[in-house]
Amino acid sequence: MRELLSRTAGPGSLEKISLLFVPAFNADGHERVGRWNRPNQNGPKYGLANDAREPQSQPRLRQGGYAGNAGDAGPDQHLGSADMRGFARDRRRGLRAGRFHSSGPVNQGDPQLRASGVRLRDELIEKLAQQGSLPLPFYPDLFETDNPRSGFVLTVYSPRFSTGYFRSATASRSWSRPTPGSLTRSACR
Amino acid sequence: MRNSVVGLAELTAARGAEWLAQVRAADSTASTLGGSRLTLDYKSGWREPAAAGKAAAAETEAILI
Repeated sequence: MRELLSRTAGPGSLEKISLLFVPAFNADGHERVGRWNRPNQNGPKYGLANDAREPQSQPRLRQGGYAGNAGDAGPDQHLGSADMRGFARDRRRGLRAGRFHSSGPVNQGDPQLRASGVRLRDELIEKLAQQGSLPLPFYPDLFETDNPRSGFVLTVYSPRFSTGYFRSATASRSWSRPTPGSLTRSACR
Repeated sequence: MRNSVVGLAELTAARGAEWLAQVRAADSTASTLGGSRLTLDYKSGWREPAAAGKAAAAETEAILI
């Protein structure tokens, strides 16, 4: 973000676009999503940054100064990192330090917009591959959540992500081998 | 993470006008959907976090890749 502002990265980009950064400002809803987390409060199921379009999230988001406008919205990028030790141990799959990207609409959503969704995903992962990452064009959700050898589940997003509303969304996760400092380096680049 | 943010910013600066035109065209098409049969909700195979001690379950048939 600092590099974009100082024009040392992506020169010329901020002359054309507005970039809105929404942190995971209710960490309990983001990291501990569940029916029994904060059960007596409104919205315990939601992470405000993750479920920004859910009606329950809207009042809190407006308080935080976030105002989404579907008519002018560009792509929505969801960022995160994970210490996916199960992947890292399974060397035969070749999954080591890297990141993956998924985007929408690709497998769902407005048919007129899918072609540009696929193009956005492919161009973004190409940029990352050129910089030394090992990007994947899908969200590697394990078929058995604790078994890397069980394969991945490929599915469309849940309606709760509202990817049809903001039209274009990308999810970006970084992971790395669990060696000292490697996750930090991967997550930072 | 840094490269993802910068990469998407660069792509949006380069293609944003094109994407907005596509979105507005899709909105224009959608404005003529009145009276037609529409899917208003759906279930996906997306698996929400499981309750403690229980396995996450997909709602629909999943594709193994």
